Amino acid sequence: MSQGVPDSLIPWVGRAQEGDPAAFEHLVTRLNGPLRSFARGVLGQWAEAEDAVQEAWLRIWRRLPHLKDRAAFTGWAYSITRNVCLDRIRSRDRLKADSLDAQLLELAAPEAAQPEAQAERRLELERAWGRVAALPLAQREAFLLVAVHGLSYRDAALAMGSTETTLRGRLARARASLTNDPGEEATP
Amino acid sequence: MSSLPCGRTRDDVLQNLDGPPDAHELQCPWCHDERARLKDLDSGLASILRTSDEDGGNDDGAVAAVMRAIRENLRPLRSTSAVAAGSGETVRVTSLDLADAVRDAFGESQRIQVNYVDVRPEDSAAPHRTWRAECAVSVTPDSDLTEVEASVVSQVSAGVRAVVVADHLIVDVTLEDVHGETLRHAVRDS
Repeated sequence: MSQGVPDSLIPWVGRAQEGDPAAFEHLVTRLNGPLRSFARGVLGQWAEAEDAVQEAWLRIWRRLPHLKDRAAFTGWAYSITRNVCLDRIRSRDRLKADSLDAQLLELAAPEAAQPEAQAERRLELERAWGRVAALPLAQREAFLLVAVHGLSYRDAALAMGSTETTLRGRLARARASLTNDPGEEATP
Repeated sequence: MSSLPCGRTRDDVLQNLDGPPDAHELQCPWCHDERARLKDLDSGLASILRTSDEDGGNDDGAVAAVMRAIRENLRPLRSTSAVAAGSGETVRVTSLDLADAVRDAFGESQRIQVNYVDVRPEDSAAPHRTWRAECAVSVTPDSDLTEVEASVVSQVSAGVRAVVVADHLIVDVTLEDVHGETLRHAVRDS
């Protein structure tokens, strides 16, 4: 890519739209980790997140020629990943606390074999994921997209199929819950 | 909902946590402290969750798995009957052949970044001799758009005509800023 224009995904998106798999691989390399981490946050487990993101990439590849706004690619990719995750949650009826249980089990399983520092880190992670997993889904997604993955309000709203105003409200409620005010009520 | 001594609430601060503090917050010590506390909590938690990415396993392996699945689902490229520029023979060219030729024509331009190219026949009779090229490029902020537009038309024309005979070529140019926002759109004959 040329040096005068800052590095961005836009030319890679365009090239992938033209049908070049190598350009698409560049997009996968750049975004697979964040999408997988987001899917893990929504679904609660890495293994299922891995499958969900692979399914999402196939959908992205098939629908890519129809994407009009190349600059919106990142938000669009999160949106498709989110939809795949929601389909999985619906089909497995996992919207309730078993998601949290599963992820806590997954995190806790290897603990016996870990050195102390690693075990402490796992415990810290376990607590962090536990707090996020306890949020209503829409708030959890808003927090993951903006605070953890650094998406703009515009891209995060696009990913969630909502308005920026709605997103802002969900994010504020998520943060209110996460900062542990006992007076807060969890609302989606 | 926690009220602060100034009359605002913690929710007021949370609503605008990602934006700059407003005039009240700038001069209010309670809002200032609450913002700092909430920012610390928020970024601390986000940072822990971000570091947990490494628990997800080898991303190289995941990318390879995705690309294997993609390669099994490659879209067929559009293939068109055309007159080869060099030999004059009737040949079939793919949409990617034509896009490659246009991108090659731009070379390593420092001012223009090619974002998207699509070259399609405009006439109905094969082999085709009338073409329409859609080309979207990003330009640096200090660019002269009229000059860039003329350059894009010229490079697209050179790229297409390096591969196929084009008695008539319509170039549909979109100039974008570095964020992909459209600055100018024009349709030119070449």
